[in-house]
Formats: sequence, C-alpha cells, structure tokens
Amino acid sequence: MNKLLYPVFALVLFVGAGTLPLTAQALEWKYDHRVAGDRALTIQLGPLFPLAFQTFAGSFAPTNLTVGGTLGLDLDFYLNDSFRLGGGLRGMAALSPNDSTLFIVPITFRATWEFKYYPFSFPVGAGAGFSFTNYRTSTAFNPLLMPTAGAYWNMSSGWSFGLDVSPWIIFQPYLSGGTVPSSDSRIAYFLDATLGAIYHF
Amino acid sequence: MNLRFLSTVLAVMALAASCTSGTEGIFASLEREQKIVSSGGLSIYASVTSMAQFGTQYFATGGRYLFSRSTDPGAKQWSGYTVGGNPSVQSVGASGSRLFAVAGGTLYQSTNGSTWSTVSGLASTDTAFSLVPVRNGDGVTTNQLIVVTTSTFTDASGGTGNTYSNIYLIKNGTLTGSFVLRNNFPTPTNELGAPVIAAANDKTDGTGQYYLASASFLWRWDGAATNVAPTVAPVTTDIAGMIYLNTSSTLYVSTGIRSGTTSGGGLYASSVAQGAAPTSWTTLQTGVTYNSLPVAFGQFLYNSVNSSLWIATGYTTITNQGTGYMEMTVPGNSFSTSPTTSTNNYSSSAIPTYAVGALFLGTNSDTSQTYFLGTLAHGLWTWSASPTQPGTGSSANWSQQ
Repeated sequence: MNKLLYPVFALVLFVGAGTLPLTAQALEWKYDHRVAGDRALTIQLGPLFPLAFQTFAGSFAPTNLTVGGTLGLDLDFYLNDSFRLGGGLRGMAALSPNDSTLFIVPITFRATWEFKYYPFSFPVGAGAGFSFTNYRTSTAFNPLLMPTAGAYWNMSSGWSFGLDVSPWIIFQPYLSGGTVPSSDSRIAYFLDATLGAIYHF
Repeated sequence: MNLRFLSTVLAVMALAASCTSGTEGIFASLEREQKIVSSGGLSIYASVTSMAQFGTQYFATGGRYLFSRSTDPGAKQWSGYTVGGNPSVQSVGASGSRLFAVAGGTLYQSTNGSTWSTVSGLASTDTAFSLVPVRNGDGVTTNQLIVVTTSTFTDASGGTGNTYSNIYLIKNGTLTGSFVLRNNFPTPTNELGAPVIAAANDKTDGTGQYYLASASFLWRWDGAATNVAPTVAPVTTDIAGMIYLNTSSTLYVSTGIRSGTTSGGGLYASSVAQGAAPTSWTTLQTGVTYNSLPVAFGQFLYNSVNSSLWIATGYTTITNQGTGYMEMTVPGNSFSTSPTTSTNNYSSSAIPTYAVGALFLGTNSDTSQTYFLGTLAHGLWTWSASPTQPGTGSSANWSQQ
C-alpha cells in the first residue's frame, strides 16, 4: 500500500510546485489596487420598495404606493485603495392608489469604504443630500439620508458588477404658520435593491 | 473656511425644510389617498341628496360613494371615490378652502377633493350625521356648514337610545366649536329631537344671525354660543325646507306631507328684517295636491339673476313617485301647483314624476350656470343656463349625467 502512495504523493508535489507560481502570477495580474485620483462611475437600476411614512411623533403608516423603479448614477474619487468620496444622482417613480406618479430625485454626497476579498469587494457607504419630490401639483425640496451596502464581482480592472441595497430616509418637515400644516410633517422610508455596474477609470 | 461651509449647508437645509409648493404635505397626502372605486360615472338609478362645488369640481353623493366631475360646462364624466376608505358617504359641503364630507359617521376634510383627513373637535360622544349648508341672505351663496351629530343616551331606567346631539358650525373652512341643541335627557332642554335639515344666515356675507330648521322647530342664533333659542315657527311638524331672502326680507318655510294625514305640504312666509325675530307667519299654500295626490314640498333653490325660487318635492305616497320641482318668481305668493315640465327633451319628461333629493346651482368654469337636479333613485340631471338670462325651468333642457 505504502509503495503505491509514494509515487502519487510525489506526483502531487510535482504538479503543485509547478502550478503554484502560475496562480500567484494570475493574482498579481488581476488584483487592482486603487490609488488616489482613481475614479469609479457606477450605474444602478432596480426596484424601489416604499416602506412607510412616519410622523415626527413616531407613528407609522403605509405609503399606499406601488413598488417603484429607480435609476442611479454615482461618480466617486478614490482617496486610497479602500475609501472613496463622491456624489450621486438618482431618480425614482412609483404610483399612488389612483395611478398618479410620485417622482423623487435625490442628489447625495457620499463616502464609501470598500472591503475587499478578491475577486469580490463589498462597498459600504453613507450618503446625505437633498431630494426633489414631485406629486401631482406639489413639489418639495427635502433633506435625506441614504446609507448603502453592496457586493460586487470585479470582472476586470475596469469593470465590476454587483448589487446594492440602499434605504432612502427623506425628511419632510413643515413649520407651523406655513401654507402646509405642521401636522403634515413626515419621514419617508424607501428601500432600493439595484443591480450595478462600476466602471473604473 | 470649514465653518463657513458648514453654516452654508445648515442654511440650505433650513431652507429646504419649508420649501414646498402646494397646501398639503406630499407624503401626508399620499398616506391619506384613497383609491377611486369607479370611473364609470353616476348610475342612471343613483340617488343624489347632497351636492357641493369646490374649486373646479362639482361633488355629489346620495349615501354611496362621493362622485366628482369638472366644472367644465360640457363635462359629464363622474368619478366615484371612497372617503377615508369608507364608501358610505352621507353628505358633502364646501367652506373656505376646504371640502368636507361625512362618511361612516366621521367628519372628513380635504384641501384638494381627493385626499382626506379626519376633522378633530367633535365631542367624543358625537357621531357625525350630516352636513347642512348655511345659505346666505342673498339666497344663493354658501360659505358655512352645519355639522349635525348623533349620540347615544341612557335614560333613568337604564335603557339606551340614539338622539341628535351637538350642532357644530364650520366657518371659513374651520370647525369653530359646538353649540348645544342637544337632548339633555331626561330633562329635555333645547331638545332638537330631529336633525337640522336647513340653515340660513340673514346677511349676504354670512355674518348675520342664523336660522336653523328641524322638522319640528325653527331656531334663531345670533352667532354667540350661549344664545340659541327657538323662535316662532309656522308649524310644529313636518318642516322640510327654509330660506331667507334679504332682497324682500322674507323667511320662507316649506312643509312636507302632514304627519298622520294625506294632506299635502305648504308654504309659509314671514316678513322679518335682518337681525330681528319672526313674530307672525302668513300661510301662502297649504294642503297642496297634484292629480289628487299630496305634494311633499322640500328644499328651496334660489337664482338671484331672475329671482326664480324653486322647490323640490319628495315622495307623494309610499310609492316611488314624486312631483319633480316647482317654481315661482319672488316676490310671489305661491308655487305652481303643477310640477315644472320641460317640453324639449323627451328623456327628461319623466322628471315631474321623480322625487328630488337635491337642488343645486353651480357656476361653471366659463361662468355659465348649471342647475343640478338630484333625484331619488333616478340619477342626476343637469341643465346649463345662461348666467344673465337663465330662463325658467319650463325652458330647461335637462340631460342625465
């Protein structure tokens, strides 16, 4: 039995010794380190789920909206291999019970940390900004928060593909004495789940 | 530098907090929005008992859904809505910048006619029953509403019942509080006993004294919550309509079929100056019949352009037969004892046999006028008339909505 194992073990060592450098060479070739000044352009597309409206007193209510759709474009600048700063423009549309369309266009500034596990990277970001909200004849300009978490496969040094999940938290406060009663103040919660493609350049 | 940037960001955020066009919160209005349950229009068998004009929309209800359509003179398409998710809509009325509706015993308000919120301010024991428009002294305009409520009571023996309760006034779109015409059982004081069915104010701008009519009482109210008092009424039963016309300083009261009899309704008038109380009444008509059947007079409608006063009629008997509407020119002494007929429209020839639940005069988007005739179980009829020469009902060319 032992006589049979020795040649097999030797063959494995031989093959392993020959292929290991090849693997290491491939890793070095595929894995791109980002440096300060590198840019990443992200395009995202996917459904958006209206979660709830909340009064500033804390009570929640359904949004009465359908599942909507969202399209986003982000441009980030790397400060080092795992941290980038940038801004994003998104748009969403969802329908009310009577098929009127709610449009929201958030503009955010965001910081993103990338946790890397080759060939995958996991961006986690925090965004804040403003949103233009339009429904029927009303338009509002409100602050919002938009944290993000994602998972991407780095297909090449130039392209990554994956998905993101981002809650949208939009604050719509109305001050007493205005044309809109303060009792109409709400915080809106949405959640998007998007497919994304990142172009590194 | 950083502080300047931060203060700029904070200033923009503060500005954003109040940067909204419109009169209601977008998310809040979505939260309140109800689905339109029908877009097929009013049934030709619909009953219409309450109407209002609000902005560029007419609203109508007969107890089931709230219907609306554009004030464009050629519009015919009505859309049905629930109010607060409730399809049972008792009545609708407009005041100031708000539209109000009673649905499922709850009082709702809306600033756009499509999204609704409940109105706070009713006593916890009160259930909203109906809205009654307060017709101003010109006999035409309304900008105030009376909210009629009911509540349950317990008598000395422990029995319970339901009675008409506090009356509330909506003025300039705001519930101004209640004044009491309630059943203080077991010691009736200012007992209402029946719902308010008509309300009037003796000044054109609605700032004068109020008249409220129930089936059994006529009340006078000077606008102060502590001074509501019954006043001299022509009859003590079967009051069905009331209107005050300050052009002739006359208070008119109509009655339905007299209780316990087969005697037809009547018309009564009292000459009373603004701010004064009626002291005597003149019987203009009584025991009105048509084709040997008693006529049940109801609500009034007045057009100041041609001084035309209309009166709706209810069911003459227990059968589903009414007498349409009748009219007279003010000052006049009596309504025609025959229902008004329009001879130029075959489909409307049956109107003189319908009971009428609502008479309403609206101003269209092109300033022409539209008469609305809401029948009981025979749909809603309209007639667009010239704003300067509306003519009489006999020249009306009614069409069904």
